[in-house]
Amino acid sequence: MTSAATWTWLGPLAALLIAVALAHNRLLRRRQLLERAWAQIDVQLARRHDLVPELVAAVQAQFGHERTTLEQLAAARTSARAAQAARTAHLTPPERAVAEVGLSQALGTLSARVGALPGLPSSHAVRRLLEDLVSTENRIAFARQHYNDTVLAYREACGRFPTAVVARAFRFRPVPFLDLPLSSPQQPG
Amino acid sequence: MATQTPPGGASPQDFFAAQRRHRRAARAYSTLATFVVVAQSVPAAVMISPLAIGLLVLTTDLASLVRPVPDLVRITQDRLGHRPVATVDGLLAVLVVVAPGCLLVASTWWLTLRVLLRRGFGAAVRTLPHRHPDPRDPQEHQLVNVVAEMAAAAGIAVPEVLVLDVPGHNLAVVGGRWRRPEDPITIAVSRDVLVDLDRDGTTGVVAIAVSSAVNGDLRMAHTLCAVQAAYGIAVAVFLAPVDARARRLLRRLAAVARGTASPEQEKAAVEGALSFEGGNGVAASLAFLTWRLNFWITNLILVGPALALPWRARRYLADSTAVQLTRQPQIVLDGLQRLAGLTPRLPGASYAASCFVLDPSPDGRPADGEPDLAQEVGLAVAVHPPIGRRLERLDRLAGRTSERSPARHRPRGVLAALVLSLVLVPLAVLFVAVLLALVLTCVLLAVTVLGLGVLIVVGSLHAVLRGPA
Repeated sequence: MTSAATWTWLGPLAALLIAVALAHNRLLRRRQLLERAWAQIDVQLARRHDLVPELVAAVQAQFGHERTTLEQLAAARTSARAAQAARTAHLTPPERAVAEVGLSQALGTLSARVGALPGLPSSHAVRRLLEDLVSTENRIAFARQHYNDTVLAYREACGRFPTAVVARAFRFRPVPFLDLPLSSPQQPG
Repeated sequence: MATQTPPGGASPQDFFAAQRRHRRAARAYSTLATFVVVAQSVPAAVMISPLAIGLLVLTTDLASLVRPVPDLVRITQDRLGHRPVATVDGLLAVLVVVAPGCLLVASTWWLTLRVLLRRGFGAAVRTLPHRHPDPRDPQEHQLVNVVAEMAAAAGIAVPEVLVLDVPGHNLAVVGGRWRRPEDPITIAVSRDVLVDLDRDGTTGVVAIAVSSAVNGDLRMAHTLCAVQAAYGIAVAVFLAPVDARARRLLRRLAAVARGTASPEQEKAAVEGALSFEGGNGVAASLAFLTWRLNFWITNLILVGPALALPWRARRYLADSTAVQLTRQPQIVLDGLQRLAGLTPRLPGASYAASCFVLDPSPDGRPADGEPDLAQEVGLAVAVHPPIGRRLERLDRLAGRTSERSPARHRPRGVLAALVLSLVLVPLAVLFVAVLLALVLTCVLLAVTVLGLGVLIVVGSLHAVLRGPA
């Protein structure tokens, strides 16, 4: 009799604990996916930073009169790299996005001016770099899209009952969507 | 997440909803396919059982020469001999007859799946002339960039890229989600695709290939093909002592399992396992004929559609996932349409048809008389859905057509429905019943002949090895 009475409360309690553990693990996995998605954006941003010196060198060799634009680009890159270096400890993804605004604008300006210049089709190196720039911007855009899809899935998981109770108890906080500004480089024809 | 609305068009379908729908359909069809394949394997297991029991008895007899091993025949006689046959549990008898064959087929399937997943169709794709992209070539450099972009969209590591130097416009994907999301993926694109498709078109079709890998399509194709291959291997194991082709096939498979086989040998091993034909002697020939008949009939009426349906649902799922990755249904639609309008046929690729974005043998006839996977395993239904239906679904995702085309909704008269239900359905049921009866008869006949053969051979050897009872 005692055994039966014990099981009547022990059984549901065990089921509840298992359900909580499963929900917690599901949320944890979602959060890890989120971190992985952000790491991908970070990789692509670093790739863009690395591409700038090559682009500056190639454009400077061919179109020396674009000195002001190139200087602005170099300054924006330095600022964005500094933000990247400080990111690990301090900056959140939205703050990091703000730090990238200057570089995106400078790249967009340079791409538009270089694309409009005569003689571009003959410059194989610049065309190649512009293709890489287009691809890098696309990769950042796609990585941001993947990040936001992952945020959406995480927020849905956090907001759905009964997982929402577990999320609140274990402090799984909602994460904002990322609005990362991008340049729109012209694709080499 | 909302999709973009084209100017003046119908509101586009939500690609997440489309994916959920296709994923549900793929799951349902896969479950159906599993049931059908298991049902198909029962006659095979029954036929193999006498051989498996004979092999077990002989193995224990031979082992007893080295060290004492219980005599299985004597144990069975002792257990059953003291009571009348009527009291033997019917279920136990069925298990004794079916279980050894089932276990053997299941374990062979499991091993085959491992081998196929390690090598499989990837080897078939790599037998085509291929190379790594030349970074100095602008088109190939662009391809590498496009693949990396789609990998970023899918949140996976950048796949390996290969350029196929074969005439034709198609692309294949090998690898993808098996146990870990980081399982390596290879995307092989024919050179002509780069020449004739622009950046957007290439992005559209590469997105479909990446989606297919991310959704784990190849895993499903391997799982189902492993069933077909397992039957071939199981027959080869039993025929190996008397059949040179069976021994050759097993040697090739062993090399594949060890990882020492070349891509050509791997392809030959997979082809051989999928279409093994062998058999010497009356018993083996009869078993083989029954085997083929069983496969032909069940593949025609059951397995063919059951395997084709989940694969088709997977194609639609890959298309809608590609729209999610690019967020531009139009470029997926245009890329696929353009590719289908060129020449998707690739010589030497029909064996790996399930890896390609478009059927490499679109009219059901492989190039240059090469063997065709679907024909070899007796599938009467093409595994790739008609291109028109894929484009129609992508059109709906793009919001260009909000309803099905009128041709697919022709009003049918009551008379036509009556004719269908009163004449065709009973005829179809009768046809299926006759075929199944034929299979059952053949299986019983084969089991009897095989059982007698095993009884005579194993009984004689058992008497020699263990002494008279």
